[in-house]
Amino acid sequence: MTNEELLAGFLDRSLTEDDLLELEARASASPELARELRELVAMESRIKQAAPAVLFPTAFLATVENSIAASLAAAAVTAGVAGAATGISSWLPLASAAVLGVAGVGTAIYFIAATPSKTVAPSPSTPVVAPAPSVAPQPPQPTTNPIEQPPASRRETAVRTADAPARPTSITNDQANLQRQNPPTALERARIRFEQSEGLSRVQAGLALASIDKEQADAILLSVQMVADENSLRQYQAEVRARRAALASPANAATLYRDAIRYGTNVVPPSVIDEWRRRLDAIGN
Amino acid sequence: MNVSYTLLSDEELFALVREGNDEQAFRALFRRYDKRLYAYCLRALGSSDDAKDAFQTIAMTVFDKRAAFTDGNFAAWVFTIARNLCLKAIRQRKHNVEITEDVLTSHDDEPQHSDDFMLRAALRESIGKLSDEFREVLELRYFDELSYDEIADILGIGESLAKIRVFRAKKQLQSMLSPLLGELR
Repeated sequence: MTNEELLAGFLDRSLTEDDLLELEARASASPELARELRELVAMESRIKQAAPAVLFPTAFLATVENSIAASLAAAAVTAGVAGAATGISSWLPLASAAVLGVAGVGTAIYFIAATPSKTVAPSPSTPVVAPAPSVAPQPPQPTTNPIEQPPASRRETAVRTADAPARPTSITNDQANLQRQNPPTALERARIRFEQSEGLSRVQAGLALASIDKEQADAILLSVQMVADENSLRQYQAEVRARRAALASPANAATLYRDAIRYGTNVVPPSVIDEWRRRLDAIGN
Repeated sequence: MNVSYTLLSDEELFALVREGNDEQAFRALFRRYDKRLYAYCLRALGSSDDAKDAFQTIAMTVFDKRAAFTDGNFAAWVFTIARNLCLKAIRQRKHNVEITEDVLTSHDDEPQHSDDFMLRAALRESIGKLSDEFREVLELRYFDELSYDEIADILGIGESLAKIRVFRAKKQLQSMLSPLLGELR
């Protein structure tokens, strides 16, 4: 593998353990490669931070969500009615046969016992109440291609259907409802990522988690340090010790900074190493 | 039905929407993607009005075409729809627009270092100078947080080519920014 292939593999997290060791060995032997690796890793995190921060139109997004949810609810109702009709139709031949079977007997009985119907048709003066129009929004017409619609009409559709009352949920599972109402927090997501990852990813997830979970930071960082040590990830071996040092008592901090400097030489930017040296000096050891 | 929606994959949620018109599954899935897709549209189109129009069209298209998606990667499918619609909108406008600062907000809750600010601004400018194929793949990877196989699906290229493009884009950025990084060091 060329240096470039190793660098690319390191950055896209596709290196095997042997490849990682090879990269580390080459980086130790070549300050230029080590510098390039450092700079590319730093560049990666800078790119992530450069993502434009967006002011989200939350009301608009909610309107679109409600609009489509209402359409889905209407589609579910329609499907339910269609399903019921299908059920009836399958029984229809049997029911018809049964009706025909008794028809002969029934006819005879009718002619003997039938009396005029007492059902009274509504008189013209009786107010007739027409059935109320359905309030359920209609699903979009299947022949309509939304791509071809002008934007204004699309927005009107969304707003119009969003006015319809929300259908009561058919899901009764309390846990699911609770989770929907309380989506996982950033801390919970970070913890899940940390718990579900391994190796380098676990180290990175652990560092992120430790930044959020201040109370557990030391324990998390210790766990991260063990993973970094197991995988000989020198940059992280250094970083995690420096992070732990910042939380530790002066005596422990001195040891941790010294270790951080030892692991970090040649793999961490010199300015960072200098900063750790300054902190070590400030502790007075 | 005993369903814990947050534990379901995108594809499993979408199957509930497609086959059962499950409203709550739809809402769970929508909330996983709404902000990412809106941010994508805003980046591609440059104005919040256009981004809203595109976002709504994407949402309606996904809803209308739900029967068509039966297997594959949901994120890749949705972003492919988003990309095609944004490209179409751009073609209709006949010219590209730069993303406008009025629709962007700064990270107000984060302390701002002038160095950080300078670097971020320079980085955004440099990303804008990359060729379309490098810029797009880089943004899909780092701004939209898509995996390499999802990016490959969206762009219709191989996964290894997606990785190569991302790497080369980063190398180009590195060389574009090295003078500034040297000054800040």
